[in-house]
Amino acid sequence: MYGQMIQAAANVMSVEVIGYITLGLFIGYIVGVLPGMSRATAIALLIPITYKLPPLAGISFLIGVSKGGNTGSALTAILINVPGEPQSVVTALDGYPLTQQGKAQKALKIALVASVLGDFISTIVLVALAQPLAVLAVGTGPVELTAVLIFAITFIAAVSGHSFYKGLIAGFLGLLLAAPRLDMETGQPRLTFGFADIYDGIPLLAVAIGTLALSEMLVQIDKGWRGSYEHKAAHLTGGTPENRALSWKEFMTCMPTILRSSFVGIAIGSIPGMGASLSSFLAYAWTRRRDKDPESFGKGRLEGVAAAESADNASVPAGLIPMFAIGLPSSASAALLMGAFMLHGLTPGPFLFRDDAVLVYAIFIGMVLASGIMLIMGIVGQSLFARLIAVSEVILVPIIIFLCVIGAYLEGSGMFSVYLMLVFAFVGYFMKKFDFSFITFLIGFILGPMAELSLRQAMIITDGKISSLANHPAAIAFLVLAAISIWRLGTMRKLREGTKVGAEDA
Amino acid sequence: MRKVDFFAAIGLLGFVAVMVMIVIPNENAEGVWHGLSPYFYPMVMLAGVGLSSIGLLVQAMTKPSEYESQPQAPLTWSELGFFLLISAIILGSVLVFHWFGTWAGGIVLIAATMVFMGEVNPLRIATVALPTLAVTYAIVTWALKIPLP
Amino acid sequence: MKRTISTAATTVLLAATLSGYAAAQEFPTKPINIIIGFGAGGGTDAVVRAVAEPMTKSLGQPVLVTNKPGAGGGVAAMDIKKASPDGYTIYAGGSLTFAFEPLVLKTQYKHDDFEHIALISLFQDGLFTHPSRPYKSMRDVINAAKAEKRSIKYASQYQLDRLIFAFVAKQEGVEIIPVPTQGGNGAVTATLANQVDFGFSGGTFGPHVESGALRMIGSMMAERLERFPDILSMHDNGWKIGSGNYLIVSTTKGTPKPVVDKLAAAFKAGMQTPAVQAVVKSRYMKDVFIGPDKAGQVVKEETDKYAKLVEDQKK
Repeated sequence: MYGQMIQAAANVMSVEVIGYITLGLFIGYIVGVLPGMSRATAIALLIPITYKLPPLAGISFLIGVSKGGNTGSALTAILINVPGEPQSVVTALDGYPLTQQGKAQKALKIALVASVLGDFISTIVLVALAQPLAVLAVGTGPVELTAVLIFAITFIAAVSGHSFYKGLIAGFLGLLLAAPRLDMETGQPRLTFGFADIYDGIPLLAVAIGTLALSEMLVQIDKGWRGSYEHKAAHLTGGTPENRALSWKEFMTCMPTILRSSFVGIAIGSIPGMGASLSSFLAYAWTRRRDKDPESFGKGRLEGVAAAESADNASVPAGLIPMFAIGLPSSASAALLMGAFMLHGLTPGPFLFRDDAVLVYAIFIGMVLASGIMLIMGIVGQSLFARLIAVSEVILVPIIIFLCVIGAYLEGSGMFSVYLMLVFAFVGYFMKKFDFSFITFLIGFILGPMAELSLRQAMIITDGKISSLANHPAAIAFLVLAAISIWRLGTMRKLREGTKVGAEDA
Repeated sequence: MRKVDFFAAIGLLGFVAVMVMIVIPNENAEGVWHGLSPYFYPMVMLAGVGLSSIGLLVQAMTKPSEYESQPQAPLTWSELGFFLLISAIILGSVLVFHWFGTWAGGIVLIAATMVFMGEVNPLRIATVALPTLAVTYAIVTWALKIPLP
Repeated sequence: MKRTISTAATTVLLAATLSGYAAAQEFPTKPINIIIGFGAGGGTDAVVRAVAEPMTKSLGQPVLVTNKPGAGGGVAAMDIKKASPDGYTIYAGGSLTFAFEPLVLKTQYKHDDFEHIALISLFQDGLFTHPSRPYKSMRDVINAAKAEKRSIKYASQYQLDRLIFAFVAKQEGVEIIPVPTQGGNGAVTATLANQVDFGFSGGTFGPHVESGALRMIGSMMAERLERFPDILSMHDNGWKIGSGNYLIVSTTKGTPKPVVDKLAAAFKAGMQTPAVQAVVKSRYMKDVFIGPDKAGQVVKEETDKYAKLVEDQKK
């Protein structure tokens, strides 16, 4: 193992890999700052670019985008009270009041430090936990996998969106969308309507770019017609020197909050479907409750920004724990990362550690390194990135629409993918308008083939006898959990709604 | 009652009915199988969509209080019109992209979308469209070595 | 009448050949696109990408490689069928795309709708088991199942292996049930997890057999595996059937022969370079080369073999 780690470290320490990590963080940061661009959108658009890269560079690049996006989104939340991502709503609660008091620089600095620390701690936990969990998971066969997948899908559907039924409908539709393909047993086309291009399933990126990216652009255009494309300039200048700087004392006061919130982020982030919004809200609420002066929160407390940002960023690496351990994506961006692994011929999950241990360790080392690069990039570039806030949608939206077309084209099926992407943009737009969770839809679509394959394998291996479930206690446990999550997750839902943020974590 | 959900549920039930009664019976992916029939999986998912839609229907009719915090209508007719217009613009540009290549398609797409969004200065449109196209084209054909139309 | 047609055909062919020579002199004058019928990460992908480099040098034009997975290579094959017959668009993938897929799927192409440039290597289709199982050969698996009066379950990848084992099952009077898995990796994974009696893959097993995580018990081809000469083949076991999947490169029908020959020569030279040889070896493929004169013939023979298998199973 140590030999592999050294090999991995050597692989990471190349100009190419570090370069791509930095580039990924840089693009992610920009995406986080730009209005209307989410991390998942960016990942969907950038996956085709990684086709030609070696797996390590390509995947580290995408993880960089994911991390950078999360950090960058704090900028708009703090400076203009517009959260770049849903979870940054909480950052804005105390961040914007700080800006109004002329302490924008101070708020940005604590946000950066909290982000980097949360991310770093969470990455370490990921490295420590993923492999032992994967070892446990190796013994699981298709029976257990089927049960885990059924649980994951019902759970994600049950906690997403405002309406329980709409969450389920979105999930089931996503799973249904995975049905058109050559049947895995008879080898005959099923529900393909004569299109040979979808014999291997409907192309992932056509669906992802359509529902995530292009449909969001259509919504943006729509908003413009409603109220013209106004935008606000950021106020970075001004403030006395002590309001601009972050003192060591202030940093140390925030330290316990950062540590606590990071662990909240890790715990919540590693549960599929819960995501960053809930973790940042819970961390904020907890910090506020423990404080001697809870009333001062919402009026510009550094701890508030620290809590939100550390929890939010900690949930990103933590969200990769279920993916590396059992091959289960916990959010749309994790699902897309998983898709990226698969495009490189790698299957995330317990066997990845055994088959490509060096690669996994290299990715982990790259992630730790990314935390450091992020800190430097933030210190040097925060004020430069802040200028991007002023970029108008009139420029941005057309460019992104063009990139959507190119991205879908690059997936491989050529124009077919592009037209399919347009169809899913349409679908995604109406899902957004009718308030169906397209994230649940997308996760269902990605997990569908895996669920069906393992279910049918399980049926053959157990000779189709329900009684043989008795030999698989772990599977029974997950099925019971699935039943519970279908039956009553009202409390979860209330919790989510209490946060006043949707389940649309990307 | 919230009309939107009511009609969404009715629409979904119609979709399920068409799939179950017309599309799947006319399919033929049968053959030798040992685990499950090829149509078991889609049927279960359709049943799931159907049952959840019934749930939504009932909720929409009996529990209007659940929706107090939400807007009544997601879309007005004029918004739908604009949406269809921009969709047509994008589709048209993609057709140009398909038939006349990346440069023509890209310029038409970016220019038309910008005009639609209210930008009429051709100079500004050109300064957005041309560099975007040039950079994308360079990355895709030289760095990724993938031929574009 | 017949003669008139064939004379006319000869004349046309001759004319095409003559004008072709002129074209071949200059060929290639623009980049050549190789479309791989399968996704990134597999053996096909690795070998084709490796051979594109020396070909770029020898042909003096960039040789671009794209992946267009779908329908067992069928999506890419259709692109080639529709391309203009000038040799600038080349399919690379498994020969089963031409020799087997049209038999079981309603494809819009047949094996003779193409100019097959060359078969450039042979996938080593092997059968393997988990080392905790006692089997040393396929015969052991069959005997064990017969003795225990149970069915055999194996990790299957596609329809061809199902047909082959249905043939074996019929001959041996045992039940052999395919457990569907996703590609060579899926079959190896299911076997590593000891979920099945044995598994089938084309080369993916290599590193696992070397590390001792899997044990070879057979070749699924008529001939033995190059790297495991002691392991019995299908014919050795008395089963008159075997798979044979070549890495094939083909182009559009009607491409002038000189162009095809020039491409074949470039592929042949490219395959011989040490870098490509290393890739072929690391992917557990067998280095063979069958040029344009024989390639079409081999594909036809394979097609006939599988057609008979498909027919037999329908009875």
